[in-house]
Amino acid sequence: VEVLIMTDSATRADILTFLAEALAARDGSDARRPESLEGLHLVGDLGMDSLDTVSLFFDIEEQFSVRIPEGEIAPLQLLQVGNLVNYIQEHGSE
Amino acid sequence: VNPRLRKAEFVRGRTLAFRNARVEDAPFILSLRTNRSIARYLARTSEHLSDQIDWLNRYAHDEQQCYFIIEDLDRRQLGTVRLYDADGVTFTWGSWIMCDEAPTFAAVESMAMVYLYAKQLGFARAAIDVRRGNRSVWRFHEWFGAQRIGETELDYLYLVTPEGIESGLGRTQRLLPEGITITWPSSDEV
Repeated sequence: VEVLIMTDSATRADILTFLAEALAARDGSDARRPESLEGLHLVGDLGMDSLDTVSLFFDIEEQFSVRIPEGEIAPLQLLQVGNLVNYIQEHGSE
Repeated sequence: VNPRLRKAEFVRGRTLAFRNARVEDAPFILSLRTNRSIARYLARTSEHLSDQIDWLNRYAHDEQQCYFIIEDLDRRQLGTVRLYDADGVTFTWGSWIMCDEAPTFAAVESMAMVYLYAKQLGFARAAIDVRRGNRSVWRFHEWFGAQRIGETELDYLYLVTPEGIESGLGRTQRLLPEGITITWPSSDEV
């Protein structure tokens, strides 16, 4: 995955680009258009399982200096890409 | 002196604990290993409870491996993991399976606990065989720091070097900021 240089305020496009590249690296496939990810679900639409999602969460934490909460409900909500991007924007570089 | 596998009574992490498996765990283990949705890539297990009980009875006297039940701190059973085949400073681990109800981060915490426990015993490298079709699991090992060193018709073969172990433990350190606490059987105190 190409490492993006993040400032304190990653834009929505930056985050979606990171996600598109991270997902492509896992699949070994070509990256999707970042904007096409917005409405998708990591499990239901993108075929990720719990191990895929938790390693992606760790990669996101490293990249955006954000802490993904461990409670049951929050990670479920964050499986929706749009919600995940919102969360990173709200909590990144904390 | 080469390290050896020793069976801890408990290995406590932050939200999980490993407990040495015993005969009473046979129904739980059988329920996991015969659940094809989560165990389809593990070696086939007899569906007879008596066979599982026999295996656990033999395990109780087997000093060459550690078989742990993964529990949360409320003692709810979540899964299993096994360390075996000590060879110099290398150990093999597997039989790693978590129930569907396990918390999101339990897989990572349990993986880190395996490496911290093995390090505590003196091991420096790990070997792992993963079914080729078990894609998310081998990707997860690679993400942690495992290097693919070979393959067979059925499996990908991985080695986790000391650097790989440290890299993975560093990435996941926030889940185990205080490491692990090991409780040895009272008969096994050094």
